[in-house]
Amino acid sequence: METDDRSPSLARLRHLQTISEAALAHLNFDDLVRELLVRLTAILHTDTAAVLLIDPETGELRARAAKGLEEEVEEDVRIPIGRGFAGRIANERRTIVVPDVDNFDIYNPILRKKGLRSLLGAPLLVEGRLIGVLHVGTLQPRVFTDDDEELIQLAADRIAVAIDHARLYEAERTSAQQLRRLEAITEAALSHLALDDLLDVLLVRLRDLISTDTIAVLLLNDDGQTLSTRAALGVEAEAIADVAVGEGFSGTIAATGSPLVIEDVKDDASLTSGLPEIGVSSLIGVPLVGRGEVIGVLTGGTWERREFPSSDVDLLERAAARIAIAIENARLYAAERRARAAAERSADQIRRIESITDVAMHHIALDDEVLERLLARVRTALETDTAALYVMDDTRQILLARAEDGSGDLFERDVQVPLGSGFAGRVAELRRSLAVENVGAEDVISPLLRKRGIKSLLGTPLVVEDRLLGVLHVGSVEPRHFTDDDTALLSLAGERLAVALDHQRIYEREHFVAETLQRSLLPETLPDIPEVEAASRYTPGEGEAVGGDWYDVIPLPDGSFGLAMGDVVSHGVRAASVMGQLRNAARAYALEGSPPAVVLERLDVVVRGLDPREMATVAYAVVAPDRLSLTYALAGHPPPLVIDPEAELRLLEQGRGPPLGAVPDAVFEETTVEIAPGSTLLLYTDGLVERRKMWIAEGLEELLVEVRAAIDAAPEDLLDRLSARMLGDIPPSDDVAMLAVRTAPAHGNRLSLRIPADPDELAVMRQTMRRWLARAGAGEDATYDLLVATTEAAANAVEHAYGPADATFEVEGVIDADVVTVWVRDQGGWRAPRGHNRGRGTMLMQQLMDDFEVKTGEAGTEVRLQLRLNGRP
Amino acid sequence: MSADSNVRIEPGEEIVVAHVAGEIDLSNAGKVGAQLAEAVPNRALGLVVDLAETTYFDSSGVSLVFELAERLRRRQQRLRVVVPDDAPLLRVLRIVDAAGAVPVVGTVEQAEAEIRADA
Repeated sequence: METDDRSPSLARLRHLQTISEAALAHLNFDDLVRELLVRLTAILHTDTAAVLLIDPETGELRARAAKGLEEEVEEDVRIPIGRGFAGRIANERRTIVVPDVDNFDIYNPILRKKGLRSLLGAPLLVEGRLIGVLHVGTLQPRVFTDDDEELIQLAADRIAVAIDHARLYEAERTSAQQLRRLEAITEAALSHLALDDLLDVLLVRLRDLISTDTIAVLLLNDDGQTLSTRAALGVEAEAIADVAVGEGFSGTIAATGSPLVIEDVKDDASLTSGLPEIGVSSLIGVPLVGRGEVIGVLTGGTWERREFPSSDVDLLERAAARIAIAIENARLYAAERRARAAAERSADQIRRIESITDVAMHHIALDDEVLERLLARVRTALETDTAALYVMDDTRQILLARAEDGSGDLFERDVQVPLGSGFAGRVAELRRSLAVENVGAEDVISPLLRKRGIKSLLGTPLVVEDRLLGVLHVGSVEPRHFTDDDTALLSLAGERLAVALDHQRIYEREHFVAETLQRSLLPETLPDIPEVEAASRYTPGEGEAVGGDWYDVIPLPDGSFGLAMGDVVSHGVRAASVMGQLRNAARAYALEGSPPAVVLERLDVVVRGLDPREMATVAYAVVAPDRLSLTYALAGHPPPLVIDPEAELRLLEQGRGPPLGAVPDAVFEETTVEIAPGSTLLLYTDGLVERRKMWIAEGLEELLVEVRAAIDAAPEDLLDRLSARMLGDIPPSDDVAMLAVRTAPAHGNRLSLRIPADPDELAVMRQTMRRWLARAGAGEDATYDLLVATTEAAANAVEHAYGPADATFEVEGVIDADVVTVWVRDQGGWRAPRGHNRGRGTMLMQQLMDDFEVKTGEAGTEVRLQLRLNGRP
Repeated sequence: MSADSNVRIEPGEEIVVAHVAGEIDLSNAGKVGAQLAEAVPNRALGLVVDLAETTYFDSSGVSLVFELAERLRRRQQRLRVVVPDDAPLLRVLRIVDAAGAVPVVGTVEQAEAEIRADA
């Protein structure tokens, strides 16, 4: 390159700069040192370069990196301080030149083996502390000049700082605090070296380069309006006054961004006021341009008048370009260091804050205990005696003491602080952080703080989206000056606490709405069904939003009743509303008389029609009018349980289908099972058996164990027991619904049926009566006769009573001692038997029964049939 | 769910035997009656209605039998109803058929023999 030919110094300067750049660019220790050595051998035209560092364990020098001398590192060469070439450099802390290796007491045999002839070395010092040695060597004998010596020392300085920095960078992982302390030390050293010292060196070379008497570097100040002399040679920097951009010689260069030459300052007084006093006659100046912006001006001056040919301007511009980069680098580096330090500080703060937010965020429900823990952490983070939280009440005029840490029993919850008064009130009113070093009586509204003897307070408002939620403050018993860092920390803590409080508020509102909705959708009381005892429980889940569990008991026209239980998969208000829809739909389909599988099929259609998609599990069972059988179907729901005190527990696991909304064209199957009189049917949602980390099988097993232990319990008692034993005091993770229904025990001797007026229902009615009579111990003939007589009466009701399709009739039976009485009632008028058929029916009733009577009134007709069981086999 | 009945026809050259199992009531008497009537070819001597496996039978069943008897009588065909001696429905038949319009016997063999003898 042209400049290289003309000025070896400049080439070196550029190299030196590349060392600084390398120092900045590489923070990884090994990469950095390798790169530095490559560049160093290039600058000094040597064959080898090596870095030995002091081993803190042994105090010896240990080869750490080498170029052309890799064996040193590979063999882990160790050199005691004071011994040989490197040892002496370390010991004497100065550069040492060895023109001829043969005439020097070399300790390290590798140097000889390698055939090195001449050596040059310098100590690596950081703030006067020796960290190692840097040396270079040549295979040919070489006379190292003073310049070489100066250069290696400069390089050593940069490398030392870079190494130290890189080491710190490495060490950062072990101790951030140590890093900060050490960085504070190196910060000054490095930034000093990197800019001012660098500039001093540069200026010497610049002066030689263009042969001026003075050289000055002026840099644009942060205001962007003025230039200040940063370094000068041949003239005291202080002698050069600051100059505004656009004014005077330097200001004009800065403003125009172009070089300027003034051969005689007296000829151009407008630009050179003040300069003659310094004594310069001719001036040359070029802008320093970094990243496209003028960052300063480089000027040279001569005492004697001289000319500056364009080649000088060229040369100076080239130098300026490099200097600008060095300055930029130095500044960037300083800025980066500042940023890193700040980042470290904030990282530390974040860690402390996180210890607070951990608590805040992991508990959606901020109960007293959580808040106290949170405040304890705030107190610890800020090293204060107390920490207190006040929240705005609904009127938004008063703060209420919500939680406190550090005052123990002195704290009284819900103490009121009006907005604007007292310390907390003032923080709330000002809506900014506030520190009071010496609390006056008027500052402390809270008797607590007075009693606690708080002298200094620091408070911050809790604001989310411009809404003031409360105030967080800390107090110190000893008078204390809270620093900006303290304030920043508290306000960070406050921000997070505010967000957590806000979340909780939203959560509570949602939870309240959902829970209200859900509660309103669950039956307030279960319907009263003859011969049936029913109980239900709903336990909301903890933490999560309200679930979509629901249940229903639906008396049906034929005297049977439906039991429905469902669990909507989603949570919150939506789940509750889906649940409401399902409950209503289930009720409608059930009342239509649809059998369980059909009810589920229809509900599946309802669920699949929902947008966004939703899923639900449902169990639906119909208990027959005689309470002696039930038909059920399941849609992904846990199996209902039949509890018969006289038999093994039965899980109703047949009739399983997919959850509602899960698959298209789902098919549901129903199964009918007989149940003994006095059986309890238990329906529940999976929250009961799928709690926490428990597998569902384990939960089911536990359920069976608990039920066995309470096999005779009435529904209310059973559910109390299951709640207490399986759910305990801790709210379950998911909500839990339970429904228990017990049929009348075997000694129950009543029958009560409501039957659609449809010939097809007669067979069902007889099936029911058979079981009822069997329970009462009626014999085959008596049963047959009662069935015939009742069917005749019922057929009469069906055939003649009315037309409407939804008409029903009632069959009521009572067994008293051995007398069976059956009433068949309808709302129609009795018609006298017509023709042979009806006549035969009446005849049968009369003949088969001990007693037969027909009563016809306004309300309808009642046929009474009576038979003494003992009279028949 | 209508009453659950099952009619099994044993066709024969002279005598058709119909075994009626299950229940007969208002809901299915018409259907069962039609099945039985269709089971008897014109040239047959008669029909045996076996109610041994009939678990329920009331006035609807009685009407069914009476109507069937009337129909066969018009076609010069004989009817016998088989009811075991201890069956409850015998009581029903006795009550409504005090006059003995429908001949009831205890076994299918006896019924067939009576029909042949009568022809």
